[in-house]
Amino acid sequence: MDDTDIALMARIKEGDLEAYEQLLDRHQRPVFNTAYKFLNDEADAEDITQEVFIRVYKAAATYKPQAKFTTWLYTIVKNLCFNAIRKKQSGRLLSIEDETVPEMVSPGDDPSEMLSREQLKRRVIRAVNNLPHNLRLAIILQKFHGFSYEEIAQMLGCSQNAVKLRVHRAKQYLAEALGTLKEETY
Amino acid sequence: MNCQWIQDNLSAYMDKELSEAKISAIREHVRNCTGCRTEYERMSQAWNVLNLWAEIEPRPDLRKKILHAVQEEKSSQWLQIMLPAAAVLLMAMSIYIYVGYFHARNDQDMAGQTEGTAVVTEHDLQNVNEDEIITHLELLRDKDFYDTLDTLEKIDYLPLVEEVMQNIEEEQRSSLECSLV
Repeated sequence: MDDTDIALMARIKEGDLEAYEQLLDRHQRPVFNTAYKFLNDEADAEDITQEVFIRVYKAAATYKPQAKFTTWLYTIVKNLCFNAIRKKQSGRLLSIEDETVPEMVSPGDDPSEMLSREQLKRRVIRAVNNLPHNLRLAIILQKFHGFSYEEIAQMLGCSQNAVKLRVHRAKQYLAEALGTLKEETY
Repeated sequence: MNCQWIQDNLSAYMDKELSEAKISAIREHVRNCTGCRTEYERMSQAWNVLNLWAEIEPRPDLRKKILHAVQEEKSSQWLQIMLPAAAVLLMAMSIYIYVGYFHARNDQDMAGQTEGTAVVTEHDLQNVNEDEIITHLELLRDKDFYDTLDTLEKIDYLPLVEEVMQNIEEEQRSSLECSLV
């Protein structure tokens, strides 16, 4: 039977690199995809993933399993993603805490139009990238990783109610941005 | 539960983040309310379309890069532990050698002082004339030489020439005075 993440962390603390490789194989892909979807940049996502796992290794010596391992892991991911965004926006006066949903300037293409999968995917990505950072990360963690509101609240350092509101507003915005879609298109 | 409350909770309803009772109530309301059903379908459709944004595989060398970075980190952690230990060890060895050297030197000086002989260096030995050595060896065979050595050892103080001369002058002066008297 595979070790739990916490058991693997205990082995890493003892200098077991095989345990580290196991942990890496288990979480590398979802961590990379979270960063990729949040930053929309493959190279940045790779840098973040590498940094996350180096931090995991460094922290193994002092790691205390107070919460689920993934909650701790994605808190690191969140911090590094927000740092990366801050660096990119250093010249702009935008805040990570800003949760203002952008106004719909244009409803996009004719909603009744039959879109190709690729066109639809591009529209989805554009819509998600338009979301404020906190809302974007909340829906990435909820939609693509299936984390509960409680877990997301711990990761983002906010209340469960705040997460509920963020996910709700993000869904409303996406519904608006993506328009009425024909079921055959997805 | 009015339509506003239902619509505010549609997202949590979709994510199954409500109690069983609330989920049943919303399900019942949505079935009977056209406005809320439309809103629910619009939201869930947008939510489902996000599935098009599938996961991608990270490049295969990412794993290698991470493991390499961690190996380096492990080495640097080892160095961080070993480097101060090595520095302390080196310092202790330096102190030990330094103290040992001065002890040895002091002992040598003390030995030189008690024996009253100069330390003979290799350089001195090279400069010794062979004839001189032979003369000294012959001197050792001479019995009188040992007597002289004994006599010399018994003398505590050897007066200087000036002192001897002064004594002689004083003796002569006193004898002259006596003869005059």
